[in-house]
Order: sequence, then C-alpha cells, then structure tokens
Amino acid sequence: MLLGIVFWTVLIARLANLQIVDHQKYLEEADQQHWGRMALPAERGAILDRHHRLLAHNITCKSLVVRSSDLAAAAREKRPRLKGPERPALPIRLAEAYRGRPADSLMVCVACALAPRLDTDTSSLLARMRAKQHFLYLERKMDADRESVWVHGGPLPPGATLEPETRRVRPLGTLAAEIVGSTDIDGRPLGGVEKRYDDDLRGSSGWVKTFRDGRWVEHQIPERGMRAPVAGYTLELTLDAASQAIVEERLHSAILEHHAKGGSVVLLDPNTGEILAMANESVGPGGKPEPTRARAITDMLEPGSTFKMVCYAAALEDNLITPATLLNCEGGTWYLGSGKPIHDDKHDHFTVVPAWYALMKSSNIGAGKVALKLGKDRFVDFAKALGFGACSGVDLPGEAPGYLARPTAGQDRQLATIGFGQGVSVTLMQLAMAYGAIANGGTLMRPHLVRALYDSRGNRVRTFEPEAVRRVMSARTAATMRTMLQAVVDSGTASAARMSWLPVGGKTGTAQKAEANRGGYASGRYMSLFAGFLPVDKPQLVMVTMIDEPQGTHYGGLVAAPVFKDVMETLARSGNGPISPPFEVVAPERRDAVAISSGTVALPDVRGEARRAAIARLSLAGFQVNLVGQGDRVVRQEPAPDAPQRPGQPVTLWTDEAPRLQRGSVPALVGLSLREAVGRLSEVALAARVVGGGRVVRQDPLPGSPARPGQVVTLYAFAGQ
Amino acid sequence: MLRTDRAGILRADPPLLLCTLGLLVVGLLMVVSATFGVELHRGLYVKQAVSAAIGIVAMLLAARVPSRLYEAFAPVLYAVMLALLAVTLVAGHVGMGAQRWLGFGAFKFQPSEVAKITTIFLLARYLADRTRDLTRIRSILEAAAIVFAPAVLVLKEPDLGTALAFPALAAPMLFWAGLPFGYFLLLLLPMLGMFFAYSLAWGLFLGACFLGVLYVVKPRFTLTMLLVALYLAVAVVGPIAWNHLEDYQKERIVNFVNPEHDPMGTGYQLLQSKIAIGSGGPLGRGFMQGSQKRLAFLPQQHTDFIYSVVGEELGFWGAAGVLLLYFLWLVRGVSIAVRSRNRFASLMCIGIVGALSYHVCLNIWMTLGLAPVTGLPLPLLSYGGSSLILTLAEVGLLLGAAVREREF
Repeated sequence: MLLGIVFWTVLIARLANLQIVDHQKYLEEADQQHWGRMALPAERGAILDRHHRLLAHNITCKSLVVRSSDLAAAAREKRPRLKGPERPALPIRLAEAYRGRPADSLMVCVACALAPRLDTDTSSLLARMRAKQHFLYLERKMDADRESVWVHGGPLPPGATLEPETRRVRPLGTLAAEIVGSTDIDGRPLGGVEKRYDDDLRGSSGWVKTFRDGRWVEHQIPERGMRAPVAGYTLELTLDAASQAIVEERLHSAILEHHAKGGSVVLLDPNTGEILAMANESVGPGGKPEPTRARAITDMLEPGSTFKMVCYAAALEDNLITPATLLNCEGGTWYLGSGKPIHDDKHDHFTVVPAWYALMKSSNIGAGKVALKLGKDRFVDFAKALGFGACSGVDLPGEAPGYLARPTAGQDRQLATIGFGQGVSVTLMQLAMAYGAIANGGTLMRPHLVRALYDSRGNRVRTFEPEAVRRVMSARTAATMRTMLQAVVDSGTASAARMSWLPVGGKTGTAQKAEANRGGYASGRYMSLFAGFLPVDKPQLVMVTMIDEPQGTHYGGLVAAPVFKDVMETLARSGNGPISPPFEVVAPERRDAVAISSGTVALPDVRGEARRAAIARLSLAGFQVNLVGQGDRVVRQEPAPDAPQRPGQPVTLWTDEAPRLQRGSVPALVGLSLREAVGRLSEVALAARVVGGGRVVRQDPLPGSPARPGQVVTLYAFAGQ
Repeated sequence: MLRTDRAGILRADPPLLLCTLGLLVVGLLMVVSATFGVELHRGLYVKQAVSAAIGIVAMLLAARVPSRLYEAFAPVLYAVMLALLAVTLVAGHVGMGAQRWLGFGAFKFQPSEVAKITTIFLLARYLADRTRDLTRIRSILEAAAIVFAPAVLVLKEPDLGTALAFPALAAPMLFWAGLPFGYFLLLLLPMLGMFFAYSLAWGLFLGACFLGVLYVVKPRFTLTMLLVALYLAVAVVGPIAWNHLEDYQKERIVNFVNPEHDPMGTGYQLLQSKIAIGSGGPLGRGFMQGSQKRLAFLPQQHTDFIYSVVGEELGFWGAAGVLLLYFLWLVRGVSIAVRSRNRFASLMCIGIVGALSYHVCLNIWMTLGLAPVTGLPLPLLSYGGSSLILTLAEVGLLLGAAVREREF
C-alpha cells in the first residue's frame, strides 16, 4: 500500500513537471518540429536571340528518387491485392509482395526491380541505396525519351517515385553553345552568357512556411507566411540564330575542306558593336569535334598581315603618308639591323611602289617602312587606342587581353616586324573591333552580346545601348583606309572575297603559329585569317575569320576569304540581314518558300540535311524551329514538307539520335497564337496553362515529350517585339 | 455458488466497477482520437468497442464461476497455456519484430496475456496450502519453477516487458502468502545486484546489505548457499549477460538513460511522448485536437503510447484524473484481497493486482520517460483485443471474489 502511494506520487509529480513546469519548453519543441521553411526555387530566365528565338530555357522533367521514408512506409503497409489487367510485371509484383516486410528485404526487392531498368547490377545499386540514408537520386533530370520509358514502362516498385524538377534545355541544340553557355545538374552556370549574366538570369528564390507531420512529409501552408520567388530576367541577345547557323555551317565546311584543326568567325555590326554571330570549332585528333570554347575571345593569335592596317591608318591619321606616298620595298629583301633579312612573299619583288599598292599586295617591307616612319611610341599608342593589348570588354567570361609590348628604343627591326603583325598577339574579337572602327568612321565600339532584359511578364526592364570606347581616327582617315582595303579585295590578295554586286573591303593574313614549347615559329603550321566589311561606303557588317592549321594551301586569301564571301552572299540572299542584293534573287533557301497562295509558303524539305543547315534554311524561310535530339542529321520533320504553311509556324525536326516517338506526344506549339495553340492541344486531349499573352514563345514540356491524356502543357506567350 | 445473480455481481464492489467502466470509456475515446484520420488505422476503434463488449461478457462469466473451480483446474489450465506458448514460438504471427500472436483464422490473440492468469491460478493454489513452509528451499524452487517456466517462453518471443510481469506478480503473492520480509529482501537483492553490479561502489553496498540481511534472517544452510551462489552469479555474470543482450534491448536501455542521443531511433519515441505530454499543458489541447498525435509524430500512439494522447489532449488534470482512477481501481483490488476469507481467492486477487499494477506503472513510467521502452499495453486504455478482454476478465475474477468474500 505504502509502496503504491509512493509510486503514484512519483507519477503525479512527473506529470506535473512535464505538463505544468516545463509546458512552455515542450510546446516550443512541438512547434519547432511542426514548422519549417521550404525554399521555393526561382525560375531561371530564358535566353532569346535578337528575333526572340529561344536559345535556352527551362522545362519540367522527372528524376527517379528513392526515399527511405517511403520504403519504411511501404514496409509498414499491408499488401494490396493485384489482379486482372492492372497486374504489373513480375519484379514489381515481387517487390509489392514484400510490402509489410522488414525495410531491408523490401530494399533488396526494389533494387532487383529497378536495376535492369537502370542498366546497372543489383548489388551496386543496393550498395548505393544502403549508403544513402534518406534520399537517393537514381536518375536525375531525364530527357523525354527516358521519361517515357519510366512513365509508360509499367508501375514503379514501392519507395521509388518520379519527382518533378526543371531542366535547362537548348532548343537549337549546340547552336551557339559556347556563347550561351550551359548549367550543371543543379542549375549553376558553367560558362558563356549563362555565367556572365547569372545575377540577372537567376532571379531570387522565395520560401514558404511548411507544416511537417510525423512521417516527415512537409505540407506547404502559405497562409502562415511566404515570399514568392522572383523569376529571373529573360535575356535578349544580339545574336541572330539564323546568321549564327549560317556562319557555323560555312565555318564547318571550310574546316572540313581544308582539313583544318579548327576555326573561328566573328560577325558583328560595326556601328553598334552588336555581335550577330560568333562561331568556334575545334577538331580533335582523329577528326572528332571537340567541345569548344569561345575561341574568338579566349585564344590569342598572331594577327599577321591583318595587322598591317594599323600602321597605315596611324600614318594616314598623322599625315605622314598619303595613299600615293612611295615606299621603297627593297626588291623583296630588306637588310635591317643584324640577323636575317626581312622578306616579302617569295613571289613578290617590289621596288618603289605607292603605299596603297604595298598594302594591296601585303608587302611586309612596305608595312615595316611605315611603322618606322611612325616611331615606336606613336605606333604602339595608336594600336592600343584601336583596342589591342587590352580586353575588348565583351560580355562573356574568359576574355584574353592579347599582348602588345612597346619595342625597346633603337630596335627598328622589332618595330618593323610588329608593323606587319609579328611579335604581337591579339584575339579575333580585338581584330574585329579594330576593323569595325575603320568601318564605322573611326570609333572603337565595345562589343556586346546582350541587347535587353525582360521580366517574366515580357516587360523590358533594361536596354543595353551601344557603347563607344573612344574615337581613334578621323572619319577621313577611316574612309581612306576603307578605299585602300577595298583595293585589297578588288585586285589584291583577297580577291576570293570579292562580290560582284557589292563593294567589299578587307585584309588577309597568314600567320605562322608559334612553337608551343620552344620559342620561334613552327614550320608548316599556319593560321589563315581574313578581316572584311561591307558595303565599303557605309559598312553594315564586319566579319573576321580564322582557320587553324589548314592543310595544303594556307594563304588567308585562299582559305579564309572565301568563307567571308559565302556567308555574306547567303545572308544577303536570305533577306535576313541588313544587306540585300540590288537585284531580285530567288535564293535556294527561298525557292521552296515561294508563295503558293497569299499568306502561305511551302515548307522546305530538310530531311537528310545537316542539322545546322536545316535550322538555317527553315529559320530563313520564316519558320520557328524546334529540335528534338542532338544528332547531326535530320531524319524527320513535322509538319510534312511541301504542305503550305503560314510563316512563323513551328516546325519540329527529329535528328538521327532523337528519341523514338512514344504513344501520345506533345505537339509543337511555339510560334502559334494562343488561340491556335490551345486549339491544337485540345485536339490531342491535352490541357493548356497559359502564362502571358500574345504569341507562344515557349512550351513546357517540349514537343515530342510523352504525354498522358489530360496532361497540362504550359504555354508561355510573349507580347514583345 | 452458481446462484449468484448478475445484480449481486454488479453490487459486489461498485467503486471497482465504476473505475473499470470509466477507464474503459476514456480508453475508447482515446483510441478513436488516436486512430482518427490515419488510413492504416481506420475502423480500429470499432474493433476495440467489439473487444470491450466481449470483455464485459467475459467479466460477467469470470465472476460467476466460483474460485474453487479455478483452483481445481489450475494445473490443467497451466499445462495447456504452456503448450500454447510453445506453439506460439513455433507457429505464431510476427509483428513489431516479435512472435507474439497466435491466430485461428481472423481471430488473433496473445497467449502471454492468458499465461499471466493461469500462472496466478497455479501459484495461488500452490501458496494457498497453509502447511507449506515457504522458507524451505524446496518451496522456493517450486514456486520459482511455476513463475519462470512461462516467463522464459515469453522472453523467447521476445517480449521482455511481459516476461518481467511474471516475477512482478509473483513477488506480492509470495509476500501475501507469508514469506518473511527478510526472505523477501534476500530474493530481491540478487535482482537489484543485476542492475547495480556495474558500479563498484553500489555493488559493494548491495553486497554488504545482502550479507547483513543474511546475518539477521539466518536461513537454512542450503538456502544460504543457494542465495550466495545466485547473488555471485548475477553480479559476475551480469556484465557478461549485458554483452549477450539483443541489440535492440541494449539500445533501449541506453536510450532510456539519454533519449536525446538518437532522436530518430528508440529514444525518438520517448522524446516524442514527452513532447506530446508536455505540450498538452495543464488543460490539454482538447479531445481530437492533439497535434503531435494528429500528425503521427507519436509512434504506436493508439497502443503502448496511448497515455501520451491522454496527456496531450486532456492535459494535466485529465491525465492525473486517469491516474487517480487507476489508483482507486487497484486499491479496490487490494481491499477485496483483504476481505476475502478464501486463501486462494485472496492470493489470486493480489496476483491480479500485482500484474495490473506492473502494467500500469511501467507503461506510464515509460510514457513519462521514467522507464525504458518495453512494449507493454496500458490496461483498459491501449488498443488491443487480448489485453482488453483479459483485463476485463481479471476484473471479473476480482468481482467474483468480492461477491463470495465471506466464503471459505
């Protein structure tokens, strides 16, 4: 009895201690267990080209996840009875049979059921599942193909779920990949514009209060407080995807033609500094394409003869020479100082010639003589004013400054060699901007890639105006230089760049590559260069081309100059760029697109064509391209070719590595009006969610993704432009 | 004595009956609340209500049968029960990591619950013999065999909590049967030694106590030798036995000492129980309003941890009220044992009160974080058919004894 009273007193005391004395503490602990915050990720902004074609955006995708809490819950559950047509495959049935068993046995069964579908062996999968205590990604951010395999491939074993995530995609594949840049699996930027403008693209994430239950499932309770995430800004680039496709295609064929190791092209508007296209390619051993960097800004190269215009322009600006000033070219061999003599090209033995002629024929000795007339300080100052030896300020990460040293006093030979482009290193971008300064009348512009930022509703929040760095020469000097450079194309070393209907100015260059390990030049390894602009009287475009180590002929005039002409003619005939030929042309790209009846055009047949060529052709014909897969050749297009279509219609291309179409897929809707897009979705029993107004600029999921009836497709419409 | 009518049973001990019904009602309400909204536990309160009805019938039946019959059939019942326990070990249903249930079709029950009653019957019959000298070593060994045979089988299931119920119910019965207090201490000290042998100071202190009691009581030589051997075995073997404990048992003991060290493991249950009760406060969150309970933070909230739900939803006053009901309930049981003239019935009542007190105390201690998690149901409150029906049957035995308190 006494013992009982003691026991009960202890119990009552303990109860009072817990519920009255420490009540507040436990109440707080309970609250702490219940209330949490869940981060709401902000959507990363899209990247558009100057005509609002999509270059990069987000789509929802699925990740395959195994949670130990789900496994444990399944282990507690009772077995469902599975019969009839819904009866799943054997491994799933086995795993289902293990519901209600200890969690580890269940895990073994889940691993057995999943391993064959993940192409891995059961034991290593099991080891991974055991190592991760709470949460394991089995397959992260799968593409449409894999997703349809999981979605249509029968039910998942208990404990495994497909979780929605967002994935960054580039609808145009590798087009301008090194400029746009990419993001890693967690959405952090890895390079290009993605990295440079990460602050604008990223947006700011929000949070919401969550209520957690005993199974550690979090329920969002926005009424208890939240901050909505702010989506990142959408970037409008200066790039033109159609021009970019043309430039990449022509550069690629030039590299193939010359068995070169790589190459680079910059196409820009000299009046604004807007980069319209920038193509880079590297070919690895065995002819395999390598993942490339933005070589035009990261690689330093010797400019060779393309650098000669610097000393000519400086001397003209200072009135030291006129185009008619005679220069003694020493018959092709100039003994200057000690050491080996300076030679012109082995075919050239000029004696005394006018300056314009020396530039036209690309005489090393002529350029050296002009450099000596200027003196080292004036020459180097002028070159620096033209942007050499310092970063151009382009808005991409990883830019190299180049190298331009002031020659030591009395070293005439050093000064002369810099005059014809040796002993100095530049980037292709610097070269393009220097030629841009001559083209636009004497002002060095800052090159840029981004034109404007838009918020998620399509309102323009910031515009990037053209920015002049400094005036370098008078308009008169620039005009004189343009005339002299036109002569180079018309009758000099760059005649391959000549166009019959438009005056072109430019300068070729052939630089020996420096030996990597020891000093000096490597024999037989060249870079072929051409820098050109058009039209000469009022230039609209500047393009600089570099082909790395062409085999066979290596003269810039024969290797790089034809690329210029090819690109410019294609651009002009397409009617896409600022230049157009003075006569009526039916470009091959437009031939298919002749109006059949008013308002409709025939859809070109691009099946079998290279991916880039197909994109270029369709873009130029006015269609919106959606690309499925990353293969090199187009195997299928939708709608079918030759059917009359309205311009602006979306066209989906499947490349040879594209996923096979599964039953029920999302149609292509980009470019349609909202009314049309919603109509098209309802035809295939899908629902629409609309964001914004105007024309559809984006859709989620992408065309060709697997779709279940009634699935919601998000349409992002944009009223801009 | 089959003439005792139903009214007589109901009038035999009204406070005991009222306490029983009160606890039964509170238990049903708490099971409704604890299982509400949990898909897995849907409709369990209906099963519990059905069990309660069966239990009340069992209670009335048990009260009508005269205790002489129990006394007469005790050995047979005991043997059948031992067989059932053995069958459970071989062919029982597994649940919560132990093999505790025996099933016939849809009906499942825990033989260990029945085992306690039959053990009480046999031990009461054994001790009821007044000619027996309990200080003789033979008597002590025989009584120990009766108690430990089922206890060992239950321990093998494994179900430590229920296994310990057997010595717990035997101790008050021995005391009631007239075992001198000194002997009682001598039997208790080896068990205490098991827990305190790990600290040298405590071990020496207990050893000294043991020798002191031995000197005062002066039992027979063979018994002395046996007790000393037992004590040494426990104190020396104890640490070795520790190493042979199941991991989950060790874990539970460690978690009891410091529940915060593993909040997601076993200590998690204790911590959650404390948080649930503590956050209930003086007045509680209200019936069906407990948030820890509602969100299933509490594990086994409708079975072993039902008292946490009481604490959280009914607050201090409610929880203390339930404690008071239990206290009155057990006190009435002791008073029936005191009043009963039949030695067997009296011992049986003490055994039943001992078993129930053990369950109530240990379960509530565990829920309040004063004892390790042992997996014991709380009589009349926890969800569970076997426990509820058997508890009510035990109340029926008490009532039966009360009706016939004047009979020898």
